[in-house]
Amino acid sequence: MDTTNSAEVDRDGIADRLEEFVRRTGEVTDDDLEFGRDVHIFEHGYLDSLGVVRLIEFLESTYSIAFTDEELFDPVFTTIDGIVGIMVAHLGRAGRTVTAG
Amino acid sequence: MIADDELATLLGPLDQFAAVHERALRKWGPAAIDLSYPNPRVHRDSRAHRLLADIAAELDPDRLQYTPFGGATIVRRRIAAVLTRLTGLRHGVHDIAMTPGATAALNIAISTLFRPGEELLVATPCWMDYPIYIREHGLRCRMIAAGDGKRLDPDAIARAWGPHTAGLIISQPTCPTGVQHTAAELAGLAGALAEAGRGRARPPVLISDEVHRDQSWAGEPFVSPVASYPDTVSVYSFGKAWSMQGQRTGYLALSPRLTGHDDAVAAVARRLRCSGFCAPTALMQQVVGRLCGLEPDLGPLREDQVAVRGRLAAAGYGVVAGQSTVFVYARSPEPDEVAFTTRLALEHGLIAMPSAIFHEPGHFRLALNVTGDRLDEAMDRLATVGRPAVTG
Repeated sequence: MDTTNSAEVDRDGIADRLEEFVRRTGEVTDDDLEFGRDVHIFEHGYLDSLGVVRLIEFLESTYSIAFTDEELFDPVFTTIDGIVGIMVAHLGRAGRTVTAG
Repeated sequence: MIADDELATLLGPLDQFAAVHERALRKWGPAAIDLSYPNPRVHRDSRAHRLLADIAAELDPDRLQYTPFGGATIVRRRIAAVLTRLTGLRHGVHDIAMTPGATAALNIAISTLFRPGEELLVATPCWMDYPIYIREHGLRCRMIAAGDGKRLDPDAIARAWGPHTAGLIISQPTCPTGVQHTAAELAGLAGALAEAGRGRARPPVLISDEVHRDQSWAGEPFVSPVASYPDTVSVYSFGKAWSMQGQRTGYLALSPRLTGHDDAVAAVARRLRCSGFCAPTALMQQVVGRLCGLEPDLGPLREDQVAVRGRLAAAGYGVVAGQSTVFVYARSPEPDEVAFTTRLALEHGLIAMPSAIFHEPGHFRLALNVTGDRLDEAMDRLATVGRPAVTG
């Protein structure tokens, strides 16, 4: 069952989906040892400007949310871990339960 | 900008050769064997061509839009990863600026890192157009002859360094000789450059033309000067190794250790805009993004190189020992190499380039554009053209 729109969302699931999206969109190969969830995905060229648009579209449509400007320009909206943190906080404020794993 | 009369002088040998080239092709037709410009008629590794065809066949029109000056971010990241593996220095996406071929990269490097009135040294023999680019950007050009075996001569470079000298251009591996410099030789060069820069406001900048980097047929590992000298800018083209020179796809890479690195990154982007070079086509950027990390099959080139060098040596030609590129560089059997190559082309239908084009007298260059029987025929014609000198 796709639980992305349910009241309960899995934090690890968000991170996995996000990483898979970045790997696919950014054409990240399995042997790219520099890639990780703590790397700056824009500064290091994993997503370009078009990729940013697609990333936001992907997350907003997958989780039925709308990011605020504060969230989009948050300095941590640059890594997978950081974006997941923003997602978790956003979903929590919306009354959805985010489980740890 | 270079004056017309000086440009005419610098281009004189090439213009003269172009006329001979045209006459020879007209006279000999299909029987002509053209080993002058490196336009191979044999495809020793066709993977890049197949990749281009596959990408074109399944092309998403959305991917034909503008890319940033300097190229698509994701492709630049993949190039940076290749250079990180190659040099041991961590390159980032901002260190790479994709250009329509290495010629554009060279122009951007010169215009970004030097100022009119400064002097650039060029190790000769060299690729034909370095002096033209240098002069076009208002710099002075001084040519320094290679040492024994056409290898780098750091002492000569150090001796030539003057108060206005700001940098040096070399190719690694070398066009037209095919010489590939070793790590020890490049360390010696780095030492000479460091010494030349002592007490100066700005260290010397080395431009390393690495367009033949992936054609090390002799099996010796390629070493970039980037690994031994911090203030290096390298340029590259995907055309040589993958036989798609006409697609004009290359890049320049700033060393992560370059003095004033961050300013240089910004300056390169501005120079790209000023020049109008922008970036390679969107289609080719997709192709090279997928070529990154692949290594061409050099087995067929190695076989041809060994065979040709053996045949030329047996015929008495003094061949410069090379380790890379599709080139073979040999001493002309006549003192006037232009007269020799003209006779070779018009009387024997074999077109080779005289070394005057490469700013050195007395030699000629073959580009191994054909293989098999055609290459054998070329060697037959060279063997019968005269009595070559034995010296190298």
